[in-house]
Amino acid sequence: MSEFLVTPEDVVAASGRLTAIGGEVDELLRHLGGCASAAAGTPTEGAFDDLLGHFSSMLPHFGLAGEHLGVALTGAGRSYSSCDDHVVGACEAGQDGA
Amino acid sequence: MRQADVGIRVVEGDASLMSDAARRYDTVRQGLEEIGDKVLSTEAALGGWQGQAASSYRASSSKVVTSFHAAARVAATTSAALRRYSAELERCQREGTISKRQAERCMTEIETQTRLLSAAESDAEAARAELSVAEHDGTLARGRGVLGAGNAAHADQRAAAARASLTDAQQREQRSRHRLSQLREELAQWRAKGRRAEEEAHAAAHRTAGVLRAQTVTPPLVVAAAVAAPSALESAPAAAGQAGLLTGPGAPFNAPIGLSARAKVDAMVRFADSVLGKPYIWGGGHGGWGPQPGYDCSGFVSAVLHAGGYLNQPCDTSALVGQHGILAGPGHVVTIYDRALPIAGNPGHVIISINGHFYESGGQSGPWGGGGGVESIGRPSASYLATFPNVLHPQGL
Repeated sequence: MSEFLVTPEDVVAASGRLTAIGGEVDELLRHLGGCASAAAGTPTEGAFDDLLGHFSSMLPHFGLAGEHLGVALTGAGRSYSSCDDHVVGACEAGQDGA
Repeated sequence: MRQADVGIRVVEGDASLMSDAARRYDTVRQGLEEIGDKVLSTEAALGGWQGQAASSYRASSSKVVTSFHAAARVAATTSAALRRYSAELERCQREGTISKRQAERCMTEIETQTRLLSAAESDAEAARAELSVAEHDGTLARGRGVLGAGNAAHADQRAAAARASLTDAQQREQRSRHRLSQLREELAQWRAKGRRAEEEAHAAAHRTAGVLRAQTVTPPLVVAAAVAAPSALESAPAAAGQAGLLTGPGAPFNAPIGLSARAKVDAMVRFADSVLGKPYIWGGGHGGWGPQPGYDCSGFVSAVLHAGGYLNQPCDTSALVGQHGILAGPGHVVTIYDRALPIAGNPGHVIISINGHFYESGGQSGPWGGGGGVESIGRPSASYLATFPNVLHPQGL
């Protein structure tokens, strides 16, 4: 059984910051796209293109990871709030019953 | 002057573009570090959040931060390598250009000196002939005694003039030969310098290519799929509905049958991306559709297809053909390359392409990557794809 101490608002606020990571990573990806022809005509061309392609295909996963963390926090915040409401509701019902 | 004439090739490549690429990778490094730090600071902002959900989240975010910082280090290494290569390329191109111009100057002067030498040799030959005739005329005239005295004097004058011309021509000849010798030596030195610059540029390129090829970025694997409500409250009726597991990588995903083609593809990509980095485990993915610690090739492809609403149970490579909803031939969006039995030294294997992006678990590594756990790989070569006799696609895709 968990013991916990949490402020649901803090959790939800934190999630908003994390879900923005996807956009930030996309921006880095666009920035990286500007160096596509830098190695043209040199013996590094193949290796350069391969790494650029590798980076470009991997970076979206970083954005997704941030978004997943954000989504996880959002859900956690909602769950905590819901549980809190339920407990409050149950207590009030108990008082009414009394 | 043609390039082949001087034997120097100035290596190609735009050093300033390379330098710009280095700056871009540096910006990416900085961005990745900042995002990693942001995840860390977000965690700090959660303050005293405790419990299983907090531990699960922190374990996940810690892996994400590590991945961001690792990718930032790759970007930093790449940036440094490109910056060094840019500087070396620029230096070699500068030295190559100077060497080529100097060699061309030498060649031009060699042509001039060769012409001057040829003229001096012709002049010397003519002077020798004139001297011979004048001396002969002088001998004949002196044989005639007093009567030939006038002619003898004239012949002596002609002989003297011819000797002077011969001396002048021989001196010019000597100067040209000496200069030609200097120029040929100088040309050889510039050619050697130009070739050295070319070799150094190639060596720098190969060093840089080696550094670039050694770089690899491992995407973060978010393992804390279920950051849910604390278990102490899960039994509360109102909370139970809200505490449903969150969507996240590694979480079970079942796309309902009847989805649109677009939704099916999105679901398949989402699932494939969510399990990237999981290890190759023989038999992995064949026990069911739930979260797996790892996948083998057919377990992974089965799970991807199932995410799109296909397959009732995981299939191995020999059972994919003939499955309901799995048709022969390449698809418009999704194509499965299946090799049920070993062919030409290649063991049984299956990979899948979605929207032109290839995924696999296990298999052989090649220039496109692969050979590890669940991976997003580059496009394999046509000859490698040709080793898969069964090319299939999900119906409608």
